[in-house]
Amino acid sequence: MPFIQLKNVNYVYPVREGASLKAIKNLSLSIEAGEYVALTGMNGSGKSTLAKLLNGLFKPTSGEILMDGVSTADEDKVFDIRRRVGMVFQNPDNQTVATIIEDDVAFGPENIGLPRDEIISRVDEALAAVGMSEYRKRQASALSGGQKQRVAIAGVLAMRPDVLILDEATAMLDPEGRDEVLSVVKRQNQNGVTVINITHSMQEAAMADRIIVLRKGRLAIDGAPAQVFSSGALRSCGLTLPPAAQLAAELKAEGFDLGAVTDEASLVEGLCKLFK
Amino acid sequence: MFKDVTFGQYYPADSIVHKLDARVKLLLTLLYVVGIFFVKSYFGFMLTAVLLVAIVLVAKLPMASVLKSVRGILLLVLITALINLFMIKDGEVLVQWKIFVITKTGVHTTIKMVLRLVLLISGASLLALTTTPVELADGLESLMSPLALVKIPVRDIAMIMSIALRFIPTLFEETNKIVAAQKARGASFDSGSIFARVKALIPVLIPLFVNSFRRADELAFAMDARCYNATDKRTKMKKATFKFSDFVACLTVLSFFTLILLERYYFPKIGINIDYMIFGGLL
Repeated sequence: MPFIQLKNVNYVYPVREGASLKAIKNLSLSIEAGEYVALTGMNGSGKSTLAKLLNGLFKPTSGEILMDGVSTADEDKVFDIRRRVGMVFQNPDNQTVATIIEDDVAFGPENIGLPRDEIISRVDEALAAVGMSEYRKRQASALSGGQKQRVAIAGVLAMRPDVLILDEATAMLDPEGRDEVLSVVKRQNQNGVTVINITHSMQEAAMADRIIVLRKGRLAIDGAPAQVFSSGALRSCGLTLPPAAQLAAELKAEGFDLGAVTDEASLVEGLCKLFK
Repeated sequence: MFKDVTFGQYYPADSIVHKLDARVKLLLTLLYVVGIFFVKSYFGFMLTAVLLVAIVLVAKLPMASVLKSVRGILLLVLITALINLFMIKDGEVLVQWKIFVITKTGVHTTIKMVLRLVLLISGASLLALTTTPVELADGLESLMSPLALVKIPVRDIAMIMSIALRFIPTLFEETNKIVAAQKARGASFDSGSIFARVKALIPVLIPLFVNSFRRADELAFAMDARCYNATDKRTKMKKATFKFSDFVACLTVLSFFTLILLERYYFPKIGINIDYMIFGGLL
């Protein structure tokens, strides 16, 4: 059985009396444990709503989401699901609860009432995992954006989650900060954590094993990056190819087939093969 | 520019006083304040001043930082002193000019009143100077925890306090950004009448408020996602421990308090007047 399973999920936002907004429409999909999934789509396509549905912050209006067999609508299990499905948000300043970094990382474990020694060892472990151990006594407000997001990831890792959801967590970062965060995420995925990265950047999406594209709340495209980029379906979802794939597509139109291109490395590989 | 701003008066230094348990400091400050109101004699004030200076030295604070807090109440002290000096009419008359009378009792009362206020404020300021706001909030939470028994949401109150403190630098930064953005559109904040200047702040405050609500909303989601309220038995990573230095601090302030009480209530009974022994006929 897949680790995350969505069955005919609908989600409707009540906007005001008599009016509502259908954010997710009849969505069914499944994600296996250990996958690295990029979730993308235009603004308003339902990405963030889906993220909040996955860890029980929102409950499906109809349909069902099963997380390792447990429904996210189960009131008794909701905190267990939130612990297992960690979430990092876009603005680092709006998700830091404490002034001192180690206190912020300890926030989650404190909330679930872990014993003190356990909290300390988890905070140590989580800060080491994101390479922020030496900053533990510092003030969060003095960090760079990339460092703040790494601390936010540490806060999630201290809960020992099965799934890590990044809700446009790199959108406000400079390229350096983005690389810092993505390499931490990659390492966690290699350790077996399922990663769902919500992003607008196709370059970032290309790093995933699988890209899921939403359009107006419905599933539009679902496949491996190479497959998604070569299908030509992205444009209809209001998205553009990453530069490497774009170049490969244009070369292909001119008669030079480079094969499956997702990033610079596969572009170079394709070019070398072609010139041999 | 506000990135590292530490809110309040906190003066960072590596001293025993800084490292004391915040709860101990809170309670001892309270005891000190109560103690000062029992002081009636010049000897008592001297004793208090000695204690104060000793704490300042041990805490590695510059004297100026303590005096700075007194500056805030200088006007209050001055007015109260003048009222005391001229309104007290009993006792031996020293100076008389038309309706203005200064008596010996008036002079003594005035001097003691000034001493009491100055020592009170500088003593209380030691707490803020040596304890970070976060430690203070934690200390208050711990001291107030018995109130949870009467259904007062102490934990939530403490969470609100610490989040408010946490967002001060963030909101400062945001205010600067908004001021810059409004200036770029031609707003002027430092010219015109006071009324015009206050009015000029409205385009700063409105976006600040709107953004704060948005932040609060996002923060609430982030806290929920991290299992806030998952259990009533929330634990704490940091546990304040009662150290040897806390014990010494308690002993010091308690002996000060005892000495003050003895000097006021017991010494007169056994016929000891330290003020008379020091100043003799001067009084």
